[in-house]
Amino acid sequence: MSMQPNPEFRRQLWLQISATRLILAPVVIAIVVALLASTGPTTNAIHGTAWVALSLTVLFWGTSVVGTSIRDEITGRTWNQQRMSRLSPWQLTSGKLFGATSYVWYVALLCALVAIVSGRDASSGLDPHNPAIEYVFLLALGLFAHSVALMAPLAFQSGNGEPRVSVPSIVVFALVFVLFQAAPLGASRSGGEDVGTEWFGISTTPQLLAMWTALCLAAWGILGAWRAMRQALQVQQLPWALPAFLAFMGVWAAGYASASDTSLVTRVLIGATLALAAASWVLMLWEPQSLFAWRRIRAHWASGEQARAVAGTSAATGVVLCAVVGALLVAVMNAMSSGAEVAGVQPTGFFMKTTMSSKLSLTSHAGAFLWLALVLIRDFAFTLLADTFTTSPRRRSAVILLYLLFMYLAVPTALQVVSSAGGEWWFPASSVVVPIILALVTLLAMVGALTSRMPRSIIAPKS
Amino acid sequence: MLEVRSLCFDYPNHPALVDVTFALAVGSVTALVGPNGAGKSTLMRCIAGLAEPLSGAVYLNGVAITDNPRLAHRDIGFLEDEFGLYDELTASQCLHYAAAARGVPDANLDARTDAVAAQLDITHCLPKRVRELSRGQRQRVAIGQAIISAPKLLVLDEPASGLDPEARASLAALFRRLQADGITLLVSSHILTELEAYSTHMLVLRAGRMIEYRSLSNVAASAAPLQSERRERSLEVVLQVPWRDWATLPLSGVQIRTLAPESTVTTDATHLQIEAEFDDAGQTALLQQLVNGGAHVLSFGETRQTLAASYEQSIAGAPKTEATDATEIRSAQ
Repeated sequence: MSMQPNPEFRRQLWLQISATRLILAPVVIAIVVALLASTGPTTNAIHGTAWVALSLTVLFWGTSVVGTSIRDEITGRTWNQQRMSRLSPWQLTSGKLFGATSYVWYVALLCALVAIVSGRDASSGLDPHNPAIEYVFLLALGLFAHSVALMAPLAFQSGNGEPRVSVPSIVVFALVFVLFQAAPLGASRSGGEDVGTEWFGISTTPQLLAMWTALCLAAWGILGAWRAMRQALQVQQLPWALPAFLAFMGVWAAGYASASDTSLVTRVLIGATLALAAASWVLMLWEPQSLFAWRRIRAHWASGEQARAVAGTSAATGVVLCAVVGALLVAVMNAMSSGAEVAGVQPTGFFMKTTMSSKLSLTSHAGAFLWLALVLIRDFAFTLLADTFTTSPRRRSAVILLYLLFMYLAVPTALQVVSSAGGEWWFPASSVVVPIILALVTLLAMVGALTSRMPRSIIAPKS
Repeated sequence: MLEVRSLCFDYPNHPALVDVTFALAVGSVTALVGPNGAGKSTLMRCIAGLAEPLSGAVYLNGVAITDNPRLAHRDIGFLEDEFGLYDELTASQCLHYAAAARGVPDANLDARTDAVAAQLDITHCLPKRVRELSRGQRQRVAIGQAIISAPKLLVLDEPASGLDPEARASLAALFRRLQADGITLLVSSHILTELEAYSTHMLVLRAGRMIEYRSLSNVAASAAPLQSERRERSLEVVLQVPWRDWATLPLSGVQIRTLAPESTVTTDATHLQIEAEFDDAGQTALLQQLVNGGAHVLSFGETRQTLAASYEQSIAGAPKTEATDATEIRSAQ
């Protein structure tokens, strides 16, 4: 059986690779190296420059190129041709992911060669025990960033089902920057101490942990990009990947928890629930769930096509559902453990240490997680309500953003003004009774408004 | 071939398609007409499986496009209103890519590219970058991409938009050739005279609702393969010399009905109008009877309605406005 080359990959090579470009890159790099060498006898400078160039090339140039590959198809009106082609989701994903970045990887390879050769004589910077970790970390982080750049416009569609072109590259860049900074490489390169860390009780180096984390993220990113492409190509699929990823993140975060009196299951459940809750608010804000989609779901359901109706629901629906179930489970487990501390997460990991200044303590209240479940349902109900009176995804996002600011900034601030402890009426802290009652009341009000408006709104308008 | 059943499509504030139902016959060329905002592009996107309807279904040769868009895409070529091309590639590379992406085996890519280029008369454009081509040439490359996998259904949204008259005529000839090759076409356009040149059927949409779908067998210049069929024809005879008593000639209604049993005949001094089912042989026999009976036939031919008139009639329910077909048979007698 003959192997057919991937047409999308081949097309990207036609666009990216030419004799001129192939020659240009090594010439420019050679000139830069020669200039650096002529200014002083420093292999460190050459190595450092090559490393920075390699990082910028992989993380920023590559991310930008992949993000542009989808945007160009949409703005160039060629996207629908690809959707109607017989290219498989994997062919399109891999073609764009690796084909669009073929020249980027070529330049990165040249930079890596210079960094490796000059790094042999460099006196500082690299982890002297295992420099390959840095390169693998960078490669994995680059793949993750590229995958997210490909996935973002596909996963966050506009109201009419088209990929959203306007997903800003800056968001992806910010994500990459945070991960890059959070990783141990920056510290070790600037002469930081070689700290040890524990993950699920396993002693390891932060560099090694960061590398494996980046590799896992790269795998998740590629999976996410592939699934987003499947969705764009109208391949029906159940929305399991995002909850699974968030559960993975929960497990990952739980690995840093140091409470010895808490079971592994509880720690993982708490980590996953918090990750799901955070993702719920992001998706509620960002993912358009227009009335159009609800009408279609209703029509599928009414015509007995329940599987299509479920497949047509938004990712936010699945994630909110998982977060609510997780929060209720934690609440029940905590209640059954007679109020003992659920978990005291000590930021022992490098990432935690660099991002958290003090101990992160998940308060020991079943009520706190019950409150979390209630506010998640309430906020999701509001997003559905927003669908009924907004007409564009942008306006919808603006309305929901205002709502979130009102509920989580304006109201507690106002309560604080009324009473010094007023903020605690809204967020569970020393007491959970009042916040739960208020959450329940606002939830019932929201559901009431929704049930009076939604049934009318999801019926197709008559012309 | 293509069957659309109770198709409904909603935008957030208004319905774009309401209960649209029709079926396209194999080898037909259907003009999709309607005012702006009628839902033409939305209907085409639903048929192409690019937009998921609220309810209803679209079937292509028994395959539900709404359920299996990927499977149905194999048999559909679609050219959007504002089509896109890869400007930095050559026309040859564009066609190669389209062919490979639509499943043409690698071994056949060159042959298929050359064949389509020859069919579209763009062989000389193959080595050029797409951005260097004229609007008409780009249009042909785009059509080439759509037909390179030999689809059974070709859906074209405003294909002649922006083309000069010469390029439009050339495009019409191309569509007739595609139809002759067995491809079913659905074409939308605001330029009714352009559609008239190759359409066999007309589908009228207004405000998302289907006003009418019908054959254009009596419309001027409808496509050639239907000419010899037995079908409803409206024949007009014009005499050079007024005839006082039609009933005394072989042109009487009784005799005409022997040729066409369900005929309607109207007459005045120099005109005879016959609405009946004829095939070509019947039409020839009628002319022969007229001449043999001593009638001084100035012109004899099928009266055809312009597409514009037909459209007006569909939209407004107005009476027919007729124009004589250019393919009249003239007699010296």
